[in-house]
Amino acid sequence: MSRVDAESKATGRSRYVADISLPNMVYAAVARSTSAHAKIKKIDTSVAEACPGVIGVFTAKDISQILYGRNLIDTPILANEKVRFIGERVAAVVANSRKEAEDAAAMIEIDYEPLEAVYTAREAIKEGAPVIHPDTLSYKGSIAKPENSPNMIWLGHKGDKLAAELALETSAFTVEHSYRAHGVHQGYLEPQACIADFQSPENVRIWLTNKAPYRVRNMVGDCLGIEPENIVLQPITLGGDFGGKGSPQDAPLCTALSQKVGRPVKMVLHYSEDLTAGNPRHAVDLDIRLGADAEGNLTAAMVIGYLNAGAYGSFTPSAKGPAGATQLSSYRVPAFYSESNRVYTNTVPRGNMRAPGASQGTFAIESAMDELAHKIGMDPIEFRRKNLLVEGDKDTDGEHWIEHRGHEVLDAALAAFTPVEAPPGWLYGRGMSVYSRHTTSAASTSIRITPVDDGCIRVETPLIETGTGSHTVLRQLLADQLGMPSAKIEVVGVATDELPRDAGAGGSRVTAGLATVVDVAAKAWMNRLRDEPIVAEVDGDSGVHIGSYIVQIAQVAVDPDTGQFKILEFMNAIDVAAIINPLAHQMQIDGGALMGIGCATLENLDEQQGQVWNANLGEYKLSSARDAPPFKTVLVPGGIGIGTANVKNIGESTTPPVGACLANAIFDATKRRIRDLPLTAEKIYEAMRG
Amino acid sequence: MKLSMTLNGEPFAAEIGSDAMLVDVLRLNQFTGTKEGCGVGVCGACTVLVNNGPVSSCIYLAVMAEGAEVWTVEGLTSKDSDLLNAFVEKEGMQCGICTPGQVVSCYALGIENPSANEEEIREFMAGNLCRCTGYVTITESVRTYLDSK
Ligand code: FES
Ligand code: FES
Repeated sequence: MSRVDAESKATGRSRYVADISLPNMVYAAVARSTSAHAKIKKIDTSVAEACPGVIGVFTAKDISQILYGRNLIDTPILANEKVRFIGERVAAVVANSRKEAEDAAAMIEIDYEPLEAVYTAREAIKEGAPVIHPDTLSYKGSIAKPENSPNMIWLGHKGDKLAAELALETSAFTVEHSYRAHGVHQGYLEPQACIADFQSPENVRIWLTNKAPYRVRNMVGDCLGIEPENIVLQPITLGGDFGGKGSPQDAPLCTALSQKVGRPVKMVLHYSEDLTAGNPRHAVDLDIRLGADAEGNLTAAMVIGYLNAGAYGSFTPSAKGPAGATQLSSYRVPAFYSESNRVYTNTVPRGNMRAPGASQGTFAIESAMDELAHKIGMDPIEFRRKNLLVEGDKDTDGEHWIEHRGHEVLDAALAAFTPVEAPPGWLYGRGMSVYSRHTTSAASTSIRITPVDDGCIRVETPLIETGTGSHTVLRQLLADQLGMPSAKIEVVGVATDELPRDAGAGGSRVTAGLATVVDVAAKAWMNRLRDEPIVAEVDGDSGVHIGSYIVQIAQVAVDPDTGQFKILEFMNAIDVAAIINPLAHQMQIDGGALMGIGCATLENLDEQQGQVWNANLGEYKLSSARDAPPFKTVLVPGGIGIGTANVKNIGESTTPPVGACLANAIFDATKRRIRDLPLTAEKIYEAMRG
Repeated sequence: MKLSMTLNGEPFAAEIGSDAMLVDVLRLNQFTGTKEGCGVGVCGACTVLVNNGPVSSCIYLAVMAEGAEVWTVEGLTSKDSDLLNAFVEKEGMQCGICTPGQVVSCYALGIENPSANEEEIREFMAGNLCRCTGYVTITESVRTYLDSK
């Protein structure tokens, strides 16, 4: 059977937030900051107020000035006294139509007194840099330290710096380089949208392009002084997430506006607003030092990351930001030190993107691994083989994992490898990179099973289907556990007041979490005394941590005259256990890899002086069907998965290693090393000339 | 001003602004199957058929559709079951926001070049972006539809 949502999506019947209308609904639009860092001297709303169709114009003084956020609470609903990035919400218009609201918002006059601004993490932590948040230490959820730069949201480290330095000094071979993984956007195709209907403090309904409804409920409640239980997030179809739709977006604003005007308020962003005021991935500068002994065994690694968090730090699950940026997860490293500097700048606030931080960190580390292999004079593949973790090894966090199947995956990738010829006159190159992603089996969700006619059941879930096929997986797991045909099971998304919990999609653990709740539900269903609905819920971590290795091999051709390159074939070899839905699993592999390719070669949130210059999808290029290379997939079965469903994570596996894989292939072809993303023909051409 | 056209085979009339885009007219009149993504004519989420050719309705002035025959995803999938079946069977979607546009473009390719090979399919469909799937299942859906013709 096909996906539960296939027909409604293919006919256009599925309702996304932008498709929903409520009776009596009005529309909001915002005036955004045109200054990267400034005091707001004056806001003149008089012209806007007189525009046709306008119901009201609101600034920070009209609504709650309590800040909001996921964990670090540092973000105002509307800028108050000061703006910190170009694109920040300063004032809002509510009008009878979207167009009237937008036209009026354009007439709001804001006077700024410019302040000195700072745009990169390295600059922002220098002595004397402009201070972006004078109150950093007092924010709720803050883990900043008074001894650090006032722009430092978090400075954390792991391992022993001295030991790592010492080991590097005595290593037979070392490399030391700086790499840069640029800012890119999640690139979901559905712009952010919200409808809020504030009836009373006891009755608020929200439709939001968000994947974690219970979290939104709490955050909106906290900043507006409403009991979270009185806020009900409605079920929606989500048009892509990739980490970009975990924040409350414009829900606090729309709810506050709805309370002001006493009507449901809808706000749909234009994609340019998503690009300039969303929560794209952190740009990360990395300083890497690696050492090896004469036999090619890694001796030490130092990974120092400078994470540009943009103007607000509230869009990640913790103030620490994306952990993957400074992780080294696949190899045995006797002396390891890492440092993460997460820093405020006057740029678009940053959030999580598919495998948070790992795409940036893995680009640097897997590039450096290649560079060290060449320095030793070893084949980069053999160098990796020699250093991959094996059963019993601890990783650089000191963790033991249930299994390490890096060698099996590497061997399977090489066995499946067949060279593809480059066009005549082009240079041929082959590159590899390795990534291992570990996932805990934390599960927090709930479902209700209700008997309906003819032996059919209806399954209700608050889990938002982000597109990955989670509702289909739920149906299939239940069908297997209950011994029932899928056709007799209907899966329905429900509002947050219908069921107790759901942690939201993320961390590549949706399938594992569903399997856990389905186990509980199946038992309750089998043991039920009467034909009445049962509710099953799980909340917690079963303590099982599993990992999955991925090896990518890219074959590229580079035109020596222009630096242009094409990917001749792109291989993903992956360690898997059971696969519940093979087609959905494959799409996660292909889609994740193509996203990685786009991010590494086409996409670039081109910020200059805090301004995103390519703020539309015509200039911010996403890969098309024509840009997608031929993919080859090698599944390496036999791994140990989580729970009775025996599944491994997949959604965040294929994106992170892509950048280094391509950079390594380009090096193989040209003998030139590109250390800053994106990999463009221009950079390759320059490098070949130089 | 007034717009009259044939929409999904039926007469359709609406009062519109002279600068209204076709996507807005459709969506305001409950035809929300047509999506708006980029809003600047590059992602293809808003693709509809005007006189048998695919257009990006987000940059297509509604007045230009005066007297035209317009088809949206709703109309095409209800009149051509092979079109719907191809995408359902091959699961040519994940989040689905790009899907209506993919479906309309697929139908348009069926008119223009029903014997398109893989490369021609990818070339024709290059104006319909998809962030989720990596395009393999979409291309297979299109192949399946063309084969059914
Ligand atoms: S919304 Fe029209 S082409 Fe993207
Ligand atoms: S299915 Fe999500 S963008 Fe194509």
